Amino acid sequence: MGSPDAPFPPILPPVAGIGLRAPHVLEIIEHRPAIGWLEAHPENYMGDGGPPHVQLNAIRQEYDLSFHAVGLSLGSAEGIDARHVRRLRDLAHRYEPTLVSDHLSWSVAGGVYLNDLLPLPLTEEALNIVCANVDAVQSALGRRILVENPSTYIAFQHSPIPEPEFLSELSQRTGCGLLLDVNNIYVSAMNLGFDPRHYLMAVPGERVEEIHLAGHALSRRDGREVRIDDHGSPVCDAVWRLYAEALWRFGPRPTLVEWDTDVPPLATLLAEAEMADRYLQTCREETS
Amino acid sequence: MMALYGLQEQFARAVLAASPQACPWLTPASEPFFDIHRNNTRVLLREALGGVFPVARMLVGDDFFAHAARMFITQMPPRSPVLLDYGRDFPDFLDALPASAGISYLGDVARLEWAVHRAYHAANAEPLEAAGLAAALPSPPADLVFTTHPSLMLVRSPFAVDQIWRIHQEGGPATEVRIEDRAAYLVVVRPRRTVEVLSFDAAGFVVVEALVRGEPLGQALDAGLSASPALAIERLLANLLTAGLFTSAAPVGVAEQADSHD
Repeated sequence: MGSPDAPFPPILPPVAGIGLRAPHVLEIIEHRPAIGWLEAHPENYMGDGGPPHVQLNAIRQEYDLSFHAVGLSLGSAEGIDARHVRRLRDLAHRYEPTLVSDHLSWSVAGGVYLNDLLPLPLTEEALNIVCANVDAVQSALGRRILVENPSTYIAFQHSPIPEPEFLSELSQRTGCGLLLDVNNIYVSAMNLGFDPRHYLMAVPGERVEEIHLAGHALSRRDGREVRIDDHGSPVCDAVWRLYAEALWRFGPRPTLVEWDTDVPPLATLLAEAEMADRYLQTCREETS
Repeated sequence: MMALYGLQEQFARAVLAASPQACPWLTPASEPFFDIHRNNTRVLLREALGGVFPVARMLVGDDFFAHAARMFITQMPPRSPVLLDYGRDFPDFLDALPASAGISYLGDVARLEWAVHRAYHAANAEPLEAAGLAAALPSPPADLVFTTHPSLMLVRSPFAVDQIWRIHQEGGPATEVRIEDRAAYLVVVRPRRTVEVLSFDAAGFVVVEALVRGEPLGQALDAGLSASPALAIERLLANLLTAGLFTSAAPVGVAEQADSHD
């Protein structure tokens, strides 16, 4: 249930949105499909000018926008790249996104950017580092951000803090909100062998300000099954069920459907978003 | 327990390593899955390079491109999360690969693609129009100094790489290319929305280079004429001024003032 005393009520409407992907941009500008909001990766718009900015401007005129960053590297022990935060700040000034988010992960070590969302051992040391980094980003941006739970494939020898607890503590210490990726919970749960419903129960619902949904792939390594978060297929039934449970627990939340590899026609993505809207509608009817 | 800084250093090295490395900080059961991160980084960066260098990729084929990209990523991984900036060194890297020797113009094609990519994302600026030029004119035209459009890049090759590039564009001409027939002197610029690849002859290109260096028009034309006394000055000037290479012109000496004005 949505907590009435949530300190930071979501400011996007609790409806479905889609991730903005290059093959769909012109079609969205031309046909303006009825979709609640759009989410863009700000790193794709960090060129100085040219058609990408013209297009994002046109889209911003019509839609609420959320910025989902992939390059802040909130988990880097070497701290935050101040130049990157400045680029993000300038872009946020220009496009006024309703939300800004990134991940509980890292991608920069020794100044090298690895272009993947790498996992952290969840320790006190890591918690202090991520808190300091989130504080630095929020103060440079002059606004709160949301932090998303990642998909996990590997387990560290020493990682004593359960992820929902880590996120909860991060949110309490820094004031950041949480972006709950239900598909990531499911992928991590299947890969690491925990119950995704227990994870949901441990998440502080009043801190969840956005939900992500996506498809994943089933693969095999070393004779064992592993689920890969490739955003390359429809949301699977098990993840829809987990989503329904998350809504029942937390109340309706703005929900994004992401699709990044083998990007389908826009209509397919919009149909996934309609499905999410039906879940949201049911949730509203049940909780009213 | 290892401090996070050291762990991330080792983790990053293992991600970029050419072959799987031991990851003692992982549980033995999950160690085989570390490969997923090696693979993610490689595939995503390869596709980022493939997006910038599609013609180079078509010329060498997917397998060779993947091989070259893998080596490049290991040796020169990105230093910024803005992947629009990644790949500047890839053309030189291709030139240095012994296996690229079969396609001697590969690096030059890649340099042209990089210029097109940069021009696409470069800052916007209004190109100089006839009216702007007329306003700058009371001085002798030979004294005019031009401000280059921020998207402009020059590419020169002993091979006809512009033709190769054109026939690999969607809807490009289906002509046969004789790559070694002529050199290419190219200006890549995006005056408005579309990136243009403009071909010049050797002497015309000398003039463009001089103007881009900030030399006054008269001096630039002299340089062109010494390169080729047959330089068709009027046609060249008409081309230069309608192609959107420049954003402003001012008599030498006041050029600085004019720059700060726009």
